[in-house]
Amino acid sequence: MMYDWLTEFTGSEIIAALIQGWLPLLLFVLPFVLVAVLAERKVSAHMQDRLGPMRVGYHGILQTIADLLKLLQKEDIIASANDKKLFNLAPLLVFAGSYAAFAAIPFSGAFIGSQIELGLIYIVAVTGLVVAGILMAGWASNNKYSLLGAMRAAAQIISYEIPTLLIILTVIMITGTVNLYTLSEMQTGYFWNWMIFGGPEFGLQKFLLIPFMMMGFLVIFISMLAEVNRTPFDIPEAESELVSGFHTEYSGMKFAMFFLAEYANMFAVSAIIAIMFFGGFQSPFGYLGNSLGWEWLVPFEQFFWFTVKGLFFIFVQMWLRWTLPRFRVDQLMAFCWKYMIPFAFVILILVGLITVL
Amino acid sequence: MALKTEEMVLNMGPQHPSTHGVLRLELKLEGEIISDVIPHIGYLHRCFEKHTEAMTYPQVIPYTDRMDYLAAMYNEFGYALAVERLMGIEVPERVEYIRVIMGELQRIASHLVALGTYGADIGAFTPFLYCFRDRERILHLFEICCGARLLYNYIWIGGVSHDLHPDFIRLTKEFIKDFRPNIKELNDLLSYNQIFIDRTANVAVLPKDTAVNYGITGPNLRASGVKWDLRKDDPYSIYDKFDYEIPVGSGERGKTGDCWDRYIIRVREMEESLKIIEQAIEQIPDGDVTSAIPKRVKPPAGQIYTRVENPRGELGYFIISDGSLYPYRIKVRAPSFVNLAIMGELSKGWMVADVVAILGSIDIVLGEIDR
Amino acid sequence: MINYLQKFWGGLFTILIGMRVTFKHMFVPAVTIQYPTVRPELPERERNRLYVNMDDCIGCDQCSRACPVSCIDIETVKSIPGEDLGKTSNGKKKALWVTKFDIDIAKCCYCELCVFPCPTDCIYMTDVYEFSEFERSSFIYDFVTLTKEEIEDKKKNFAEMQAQKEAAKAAAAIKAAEEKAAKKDEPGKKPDNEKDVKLMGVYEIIFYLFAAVTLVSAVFVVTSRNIVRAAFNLLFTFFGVAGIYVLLGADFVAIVQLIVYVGGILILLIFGVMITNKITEVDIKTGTLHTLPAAIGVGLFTGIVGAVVLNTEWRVVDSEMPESTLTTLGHMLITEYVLIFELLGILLLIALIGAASMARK
Repeated sequence: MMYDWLTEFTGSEIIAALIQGWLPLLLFVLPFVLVAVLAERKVSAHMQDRLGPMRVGYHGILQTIADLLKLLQKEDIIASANDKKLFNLAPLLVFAGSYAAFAAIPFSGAFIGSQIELGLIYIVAVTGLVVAGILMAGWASNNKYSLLGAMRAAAQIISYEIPTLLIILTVIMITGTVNLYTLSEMQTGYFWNWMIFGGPEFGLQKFLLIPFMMMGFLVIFISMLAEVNRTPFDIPEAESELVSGFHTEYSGMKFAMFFLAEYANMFAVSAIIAIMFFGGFQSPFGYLGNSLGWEWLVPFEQFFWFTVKGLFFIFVQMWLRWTLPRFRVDQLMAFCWKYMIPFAFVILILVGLITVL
Repeated sequence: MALKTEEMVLNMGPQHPSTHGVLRLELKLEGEIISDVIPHIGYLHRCFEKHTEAMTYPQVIPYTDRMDYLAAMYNEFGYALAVERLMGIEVPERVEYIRVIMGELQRIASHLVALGTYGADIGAFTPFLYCFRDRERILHLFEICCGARLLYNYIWIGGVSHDLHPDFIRLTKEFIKDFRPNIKELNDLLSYNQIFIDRTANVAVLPKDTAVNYGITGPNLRASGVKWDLRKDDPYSIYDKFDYEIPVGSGERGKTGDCWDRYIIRVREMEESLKIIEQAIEQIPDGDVTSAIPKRVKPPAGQIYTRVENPRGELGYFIISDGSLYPYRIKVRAPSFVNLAIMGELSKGWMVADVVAILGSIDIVLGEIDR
Repeated sequence: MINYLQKFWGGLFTILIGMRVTFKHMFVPAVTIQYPTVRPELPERERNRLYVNMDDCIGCDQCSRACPVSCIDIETVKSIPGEDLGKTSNGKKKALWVTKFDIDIAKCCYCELCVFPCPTDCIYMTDVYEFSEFERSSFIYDFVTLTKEEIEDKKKNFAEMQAQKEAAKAAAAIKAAEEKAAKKDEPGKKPDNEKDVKLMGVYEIIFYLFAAVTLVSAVFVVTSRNIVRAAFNLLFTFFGVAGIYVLLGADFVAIVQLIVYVGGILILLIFGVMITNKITEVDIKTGTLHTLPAAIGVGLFTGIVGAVVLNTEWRVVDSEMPESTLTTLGHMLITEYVLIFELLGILLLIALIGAASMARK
């Protein structure tokens, strides 16, 4: 594993741990967020028959860097009635919550932050920190609208954690493990071994499971959309109703942190769905490295496939954002409690029956 | 946000992304439920009616443009009709056809803005851009005829200022051919989308009697089930020569008179306007468009009230002339001013998030309300 | 039931249709142009900035009278008999010297009403639409071609002629030319074409970190005067405790601590604290304050606990990584402790139903 290799390399556990902790952030999440912000603008532009950023760099590639520089030099406005400590702490908490999820995600066969046995449940737990951070932001802004936005965001996230957990339980029932690494490893081979096609074991159970896995995928995709506050569930940040909700009062770098946290969260969520249902870092056709005899190529290939799957789900999330209007808050709640949860329960029970038989 | 139900007053202030213009809405809330909405207007008042007393009749036309800036052709149309009736001028037939074509194109443009911004308020950002892309083509058609895109000064008393550009008919035919599939695309994307229907169907139902009692006109009235359109019921110009339907709300996805009905009536009206334009282009005769324009507009003393069907409702001009070059008094009955009055009635019992949807469905323009 | 499923299916289907529309649009070329580098072609009747060709202007004042916003300011002086001002390009003889022709383009409403009445077509709208200025006064365009001295001259001639007339009629004298505006006589603006360490391993550091977080935030919870701050500090305390659970090898308990305490109970607490009206103005004080008995009680308690802690033989074991407790816990809950598990479930169900029925009103 990378940790052991790093310990040998640097000779000290502490440095290895530090590098392991910082590495995903620097090498992956930050450039990813840069690309994602630009991609969102370009995707939305092309869907709306226009061009998006075109001036900074070739066809606007360096736009996010320009935005980042702009945000860095903005004045940090803190109103006098705000609660300074909480105000400053909130973006950090939100970002910490989204980033901590990356510790348990296997980016490829050789790199995983921590091989925690409770991978999926750990991720769900840690996104609870995001809720606390949002509430803190809403409260510390000392603004009626922000508080409203924060309350709604908190209610939305904790409601939609339930269908998520139920579908996770379903996957646990079939595979017997919550460890994300083992989950990915189980889906080796070709793409019909992926969980969405019923899992790696061939047999009657596999074919019976396929429709339920598809529905489970749908349910968890929608719930994860709600957890990251994307349209159609973006009531907390609804521009036309609450003028940006809980991050109205933030400017400059702190706003950039909220933004960063949202995109990091989006990727974490896409990664989880990819791992649970679409084989994680496994390639659908077998490995070029293996067939050519170059064993060292395999982890890079796996990383490539993992990123491709994650980016595909992010594209779908952006696609949905620019197509759909948003839900009203009580409809959102009704949708969760009256549609998602019953469906998730039914799927759970039926899949349980199938696995027992 | 308190648990005990004390009444809270929330201000959707003059600057807000969703109030269409500078409008201040005072919301009286009990928790999340609205008990009353009081609109405060006047932020855009520019003393139009007083200004007109110092200008000659032709000079008033640029000012009428600026009242309802999204439907400027119709404002000029109504005013020109009023003064012509007062003076007894008969305009050539070609002028009548041109006015109808321009008016209906303007109706489509105005409805596109209404639909696009309504979608954007509800949260769907993409239909807004599609609607504006189509509207750009209509504004280009206006531009080649009279030189301006939004405020035209085109329809004059006794005629129009320029004849149609030689390319106009060809470009309009192309536009109609391209626009019909775009309406279908808009329907696919927004109108029949389940989330949109959940947001707007059965929300803020306006019963027939309430609508008539408040004096609501235009698509809002038709959505409540009343089949009343000035183009058919009190015909002016040559509207009686064309064959078109009047769409009436029928509660397709909810109750008759809800927000979805008001929305879909506008979409259907756009389709009917396309029919009128096609027929007008076929039938338009040749002629001189400036022959009936008087050198000096000096109507005889008297008063007249003329009404036309604005995209938003009944636009009325009441002109008192004292026989001189300058009008004595021009009073405008703006449809959005009257339509805004039902805000309070409609929003009772709904939530803050619905206020935006309801306001968007009434489709107001502050320029008209405040003049 | 059928309605329910139909609604769900209908929703999904319409969403997919909408998605197809936006997807197709991704491949439609953009309808926008990149403005300053690419400019749109304007039609010929375009109405933009005004221009006056002074050679053709006969000073008839028609444009100024037609303007609805009074942005054109014209002053003329009659020429004395015998002076030849020339002809305009369509053959009209000019009879007036135009001494002032100002157009305040900031007031202009671009309605073109001034263009129609002009008998010589000397005023017209060009295609220049980019003419922003830094000073407001630069918006008053001056089109007159005569120099200041010439203007004075003309007016003097006229005045003499008038004076003669007046003298002949014995009437009062007319005022002479007023002073020119400071603007020089550039004839308007020409139309132009205008973007560890030695001995500390990683685990020790982590343990001290979490312990510090727990203790410090616990102290803040108890001593903070602001209830909301206290609630948020409780969040950090719970988080620290979860970290300590992990270090003790109870991974599942740690996760549950995060999910239940941080994600559930603390959120509930924060909601309750935030919604209560005027919570920040409540002064947290107790009614009774007996310092001496409290000090004795606390001192005794600290002493006992401290003695126990210091006198115990804490075992130092070099163990390998504890294995996950998830599977073992799962098995035990379903086999040995199943009755308690079910009873707890029923208890929670009762609580849920009670809460829902209370909130229904």
